[in-house]
Amino acid sequence: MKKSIRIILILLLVAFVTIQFFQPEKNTGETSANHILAKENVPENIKIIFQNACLDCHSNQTNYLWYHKIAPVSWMINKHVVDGKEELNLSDWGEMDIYDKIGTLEEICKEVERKKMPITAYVKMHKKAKLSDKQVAELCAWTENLSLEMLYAVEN
Amino acid sequence: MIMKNKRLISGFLFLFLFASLVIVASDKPTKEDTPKLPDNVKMIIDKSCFACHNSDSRNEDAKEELDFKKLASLSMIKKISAYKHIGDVVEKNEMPPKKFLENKPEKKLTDKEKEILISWAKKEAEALVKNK
Repeated sequence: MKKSIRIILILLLVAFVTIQFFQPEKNTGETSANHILAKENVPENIKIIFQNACLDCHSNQTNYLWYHKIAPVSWMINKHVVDGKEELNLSDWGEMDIYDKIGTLEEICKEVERKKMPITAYVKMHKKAKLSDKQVAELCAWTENLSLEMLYAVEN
Repeated sequence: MIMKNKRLISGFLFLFLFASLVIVASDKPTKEDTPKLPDNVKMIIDKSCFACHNSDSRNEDAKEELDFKKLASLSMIKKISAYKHIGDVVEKNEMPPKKFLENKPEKKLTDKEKEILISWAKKEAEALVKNK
């Protein structure tokens, strides 16, 4: 009995060490000139929301915590980042057309207002990602403002 | 005494008439409430979208996402993003949802129908940006 437990533990340890060699690619790309924070004049309070609650999964730069680099956690984090960027990558903001931008801004407000974003797993790991009602209101006021600004900046 | 009663009754009657007039008038849908859809687009939306995406739908998520009865009364920004979103979800085959189509395969959009919806949504969004 004791021996079998020891064998299982050793096997688990070997498995744990082995999976460390299978790491997903890190999301730590160069900062792009097309990034929303580079393209738009984002006020400080909104910038903080983006940095604390959005950009880890919705841009080409993720700030990894130490345990995010350890498999199998790294696999889970990678899935969130890949899915997040597929849905919306704010590093590519400058490449979007006006329809995409207005639709995206509207979607950002809606998702956050309905508490669908940031996702629960993320907020559990990042306390600062928990947005207050005031922050949500500020974010939505900003998205609408920017949409209107862009709309009226389009020349007919 | 009788005179007073009569006046009271006619007063009530008048009030009743006035109130019903107000109710009837406010019940009338305003122009903004009913979006004007081209016939071919309306047919497709009636077939594949409207059942869930209208104010009386029991599908709360669907009507929160998009309500065709309220579409025309939305703000300009919300309208543009609604049209953009319609085009996107149709193009990516996200709507009508797969689960829904399992029970009602006849509601699936044909390629031609998808094309009509996408180009209509695009045109509406473009017109809004242009005629702001």
